[in-house]
Parts: sequence; structure tokens; C-alpha cells
Amino acid sequence: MILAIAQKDLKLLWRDKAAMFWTLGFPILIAVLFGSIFGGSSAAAKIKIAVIDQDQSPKSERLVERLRQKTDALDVSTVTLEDAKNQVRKGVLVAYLVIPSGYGEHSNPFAASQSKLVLGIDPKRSAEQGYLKGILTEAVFQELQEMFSHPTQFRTEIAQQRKLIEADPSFAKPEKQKLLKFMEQAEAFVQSIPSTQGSRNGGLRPPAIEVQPLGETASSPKSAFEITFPQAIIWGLLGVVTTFAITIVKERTQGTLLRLRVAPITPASMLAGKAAACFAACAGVMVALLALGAIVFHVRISHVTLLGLAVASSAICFVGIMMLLSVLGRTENAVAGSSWGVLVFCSMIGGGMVPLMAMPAWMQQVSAVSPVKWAILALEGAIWRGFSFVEMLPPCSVLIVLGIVCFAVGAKLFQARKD
Amino acid sequence: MIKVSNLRKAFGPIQAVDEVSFEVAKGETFGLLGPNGAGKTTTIGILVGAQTADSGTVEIEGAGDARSRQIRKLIGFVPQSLAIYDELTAEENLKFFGLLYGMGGSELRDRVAAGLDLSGLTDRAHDRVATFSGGMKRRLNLACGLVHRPSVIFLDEPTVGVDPQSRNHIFETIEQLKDHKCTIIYTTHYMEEASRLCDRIGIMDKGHLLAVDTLDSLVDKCGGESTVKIEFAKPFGAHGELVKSFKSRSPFEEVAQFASLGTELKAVHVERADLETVFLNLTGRTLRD
Repeated sequence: MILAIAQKDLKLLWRDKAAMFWTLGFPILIAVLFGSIFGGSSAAAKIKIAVIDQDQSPKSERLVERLRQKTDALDVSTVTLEDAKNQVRKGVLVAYLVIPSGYGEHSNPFAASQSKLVLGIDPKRSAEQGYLKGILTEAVFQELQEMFSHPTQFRTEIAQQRKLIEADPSFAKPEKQKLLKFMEQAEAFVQSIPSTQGSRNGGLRPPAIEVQPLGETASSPKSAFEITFPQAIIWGLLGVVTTFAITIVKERTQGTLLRLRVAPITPASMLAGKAAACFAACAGVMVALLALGAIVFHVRISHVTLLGLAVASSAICFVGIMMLLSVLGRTENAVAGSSWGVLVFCSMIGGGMVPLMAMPAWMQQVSAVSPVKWAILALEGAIWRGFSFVEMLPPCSVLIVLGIVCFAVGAKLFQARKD
Repeated sequence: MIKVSNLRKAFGPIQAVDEVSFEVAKGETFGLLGPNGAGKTTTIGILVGAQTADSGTVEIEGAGDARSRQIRKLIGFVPQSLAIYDELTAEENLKFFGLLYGMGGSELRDRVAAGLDLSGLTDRAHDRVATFSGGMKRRLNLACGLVHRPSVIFLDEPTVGVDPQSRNHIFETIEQLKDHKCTIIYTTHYMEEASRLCDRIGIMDKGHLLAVDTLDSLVDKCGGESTVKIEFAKPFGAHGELVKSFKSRSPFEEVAQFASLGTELKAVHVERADLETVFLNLTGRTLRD
């Protein structure tokens, strides 16, 4: 019988289009909209550029490859120069980079005439321009670093440059002699270095940095969606709670409660059916939103079991709150109004609107009175805060205890209104 | 059998039910007739266990009152206001209320089909109730109270706001229930319904049960005199009357006396007292006041 009541209530919820919007559609809008506004994921922050390699030398190819490897910052494509210009004008691309012919030959710092890389970008995009210049400089210097790290390659490069200097008529004689002298000394210095690559003394090497692998602590959100999805879940729960609180009053006003009371079921079974339906709806909304967040918006689930605990305890809490809210008024309008009033206030101070981490310290203290704070904390604990089981206990315990107390008080008041 | 003794129920200063006592035999249809606010619905509410009496006792089928789960299984209740789910279909409503009474499997399927047939909604079984007319909703409301095949049925003004076609449908359903020897308590403020359907009638007003008996006995005891109008073929009596009107407690005997005098009677009209008159005589006001 409990199952029959729960099934009936879920069916009624499913068929109520407005309620479905507030429980699922609206939260998804909130999560996606605010997630996108506040920066979204790192993938969304990539700068799209096109590279036009007119040189096609090993050196230019290495530069393109280095840029492609910067996957966290750049999204590199290869198109024609004309297409690249069009796409930059349309805003499809942020910029294009032209590697001119002769880059491989004239990119050496000792070269008499250096080839210039061309960056095509809207002058208004000053921030991206500076960022791209930094990335390009880093990529070009990596080439020099590699050259210094490989004596054989360096010697070849110096010999080639010496020939170019000697043949270049644009240099004044004293200047040419100074440069050739410098090249001679540099060549002598490099020849004193063993050419074996990979040996302890092989070439000039960058400072040795040891990378120590360390497990990700997940102590900060990787994207705005990891903040907005727990908030959206709260809005979904508020929608479910308000809808079910109203349905309990509706049972009374439309007379079906009378039939339920006359039927051979106990009042406890009747309320258990309602609670079961509300619990299933709360859990369903949370699972649906989390699944969407994880699959589409790459929200991390750092611990599935703990997330299950957070979902279950949040659902218990909000079922209890639903029961209490359902007795706040005698009409559907009264309950709807008071429910939204109470829940929106709880959401405001509990982090449902402004993220907890963005609140001032005193506000974070005040937010402890709101169940929304504990639900968000529990969900974030399992999503990105990297909580252990022990750390999950306080928020989950608060939620469960609050849920039980609210349900008991609500059920008592509901029974008191029998006549 | 239903036995009600000294039932009392007050809502604040208003005494809704005051020392009401009556008995209903097994298979009998008992009508509670009275105007709005007479206390009929409160009495039914107490009988079905939806409300608690301040004092008094109710015994149904000799096994206690409706607080008992076993008794509740025997009871079918059709409330005055519609008590069905608008967003469920007719079939889903019947199925849900059947499930509440512990039905399942083929029994539930059969009873749901019977309920749809009873309410004349077989063709609309899969349509949401929200799309139904008022009469269709009323018929479904009745069927939902009967889906579990109860032996004791409480019908609280089941025809309020119903079109004549649906009203007849409901009457036919109740007559079928009478044929199946169900015990029925039927509240109404329409005397025609009470006259047509009920074996015995209790007249209620302001929380009091004023009289309980069969229709004929009530009329005889409380209806007062009948109005007799005789039209003569020829002038009659010392004044040469062609029409004579008078009131009588035994109208047919008096008409027979005129006939025995050898007078030719052209027409005889007897207006017998009805429940309206009974109610008027008992309360000093009409049912529709």
C-alpha cells in the first residue's frame, strides 16, 4: 500500500508539467547558465588559433608541434591564411599565426636577419594577445633550450651561422669580425663538451627539476560547473519539496485525503507512502543532475559511495522539511507561498545562490542554520572537496537528524488536523 | 447491521450532531434526509471513521466501529465532494483505490473493469479525469467507492450537481446494490431520492434526528391531513355545489362515503402529504429554507 501511494504520487508529479520544470528544467538552466557565466570548465577557456606554416622546415614543424602540445591553453588548427583571416574577423578564431618561409634558417638568435612570426589578432583582444605572445615566446625558447642541450646540433648551428655571417654583405667589417670571433670562441667552448647525449656531462642542460607525483587532493573546484551543479541540485530539491508539500494539502482540499483516511491503511502508512515518493523524487532529481553534470560538463565525482551517502542524507532531510512545510497552511496557495518563502531564505543563506566558498566568514557561520548549507557541503564533499568518510559524517548527520525531527513534527501536526 | 447510539459531535460552539441514535438492518437502505447543515455529513464522517465523535458509539456488523481495519475493509464510502485524482486516468483511479483495499492481480483487474462498466466509462478508461464532464466524474467517484465490493456502503449526497442522465445512472447503480443486499446509508436533501431509494428514512435537522420510519409511516404520523377535491356531475347538497374541497386524515374513506350517497362524482383529486410536508410539520420550515 505504501508502494501504491508512492507510485501514485510519482505519477502525479511526472504528469505535472509545471512541477517537472521547477524540479528538473529550472535547476538544469541554473547549473548550465551560471556555470557558463562564471567560466565553465578549463576546456571552455582554450584559445582557438590557426597556424599557417609557410616554412615547412623541421624547425617550424617542431614549433607547431610544441604549440599543439599546449592542450590546456590552445586549440590549434591548420587552415589557409585567407580562411584564418576570415575566421578571426568572424570571431571563430581568436588569432592566427604565420610561420614565414625561411623561419628555420633565420630564427637563430645569432642570425644576421631574423624571420618574424606573424600573429593576426583583433587589437581589442589585448589580454589574449599578451597571453599568446607569452606562449609563443616559451615555445620558441624551448627550441633554443634544446639546441643548447645537444652540443652536436649546437655546433652544426654555429657553423651554419658562421657561413651566413661571412657571406652577408650587410655587416660592417669590424662588426663582422667581432661576431666571427664570438662564434669561434663559442664553437671552441662547445667542442670542449662531450657530444654524448644523455650523459651526465652532455651539453648545457636546463635546471634539473624532479616532478614528484602526488595524488590529486581535489580540494578546489576544477570548473564553475562543480559549484553550480550542487547549487542546481538544491533548487531541484526545493522544487520537489514544494510540489509534495502542496500535494499533501491538495489531497485534503480535493477530498482524496478523506478516502485515504477511510481506507484500511494506517496514517503512518499513508505518510510513509508520501515520504517514499518524495524521497524517490529527491534522489531521482539529484542523480539526474549529477549524471548530466558528470557526462556533459565533466563534473568530477571523487567518491561515488560518499556521493550516495550525500544524496541519501539530503533526500531524508528534504523529505522531513516537506512534511513540516505541508502543515504551514490550510490551502495550496498558503503552503506554496510559505514553502517558497522558507526555502528561498534557506537557500540564500545556505549557499544555494552565492557559493559557500565566496561568502564572508561571518555569513558562513550563519549559514549553519540552513539545511541547504549542509546539503551543499555534503555534495561538494563527495564531488570536489575530497572529503573522507569521517569528514562526511558531520554534514550528513545534521541532514539526517534534521530530516527526522522535521518529519516527526510535521506528521504530528498533520494528524492533529484530522477533524 | 449498523447500530448508532447517542452520537454527539461539536465544532466549537456549534453542535453538529446531537444525541443521534438509529439502527440499520443488514441489506436495508437507510436515508438521512435533511437540509444543508443538518449534520448528515458529520454523522457519516463519524460512521466511516474519518471523524471522531465526542461521545456515543457506533457498531458495524457487530464488530466495532470503523477504527478497526477489518471493518474498514467492509466499508465503501462515496464522499459528497469529488474525491478522485484529476491527473490520473479513470482506470488508474480505480486501480489505486483497489490497491488500498489490498486487492491485486486478476481480482483487481476484474473489479477495475467492473467499475469502469458501472460508471459507463469503459471507452474513456485511459483518459485523464481532468477531461471528464461533471457527471462522468460523479459516476467515477461512485465507482471508486465500490471497487472493492463493500457490503456496507455510505453514500453522502452522491447526486449533487449531476445532470439528469447521470443521476438516473447513479440511481440504477444503487438499486443494483440493493438487489445485492448491501447495507446502504444514503444522505440527501432531495425528498424524491429518499422516497425512491430508501426503505426507511431518518429526518435530520440542526444535528438532531427528529424521526425515523418508513415513508408511509412518516407521512401517516407526521404528514398531517391530505387535501381532497371532489368535482360533482350535478349540483350537490343544500347549496348546490359542483366542487367540494376539504382536508382529511383518511381521504379515501371520505370519498367512498360521498360515493355511497348515490352522487355522481365527475373527478376526485387527493393531495397526499409528502416528505416535504413531514419535514415542515417536524421543523416548522421547508427542506429548501
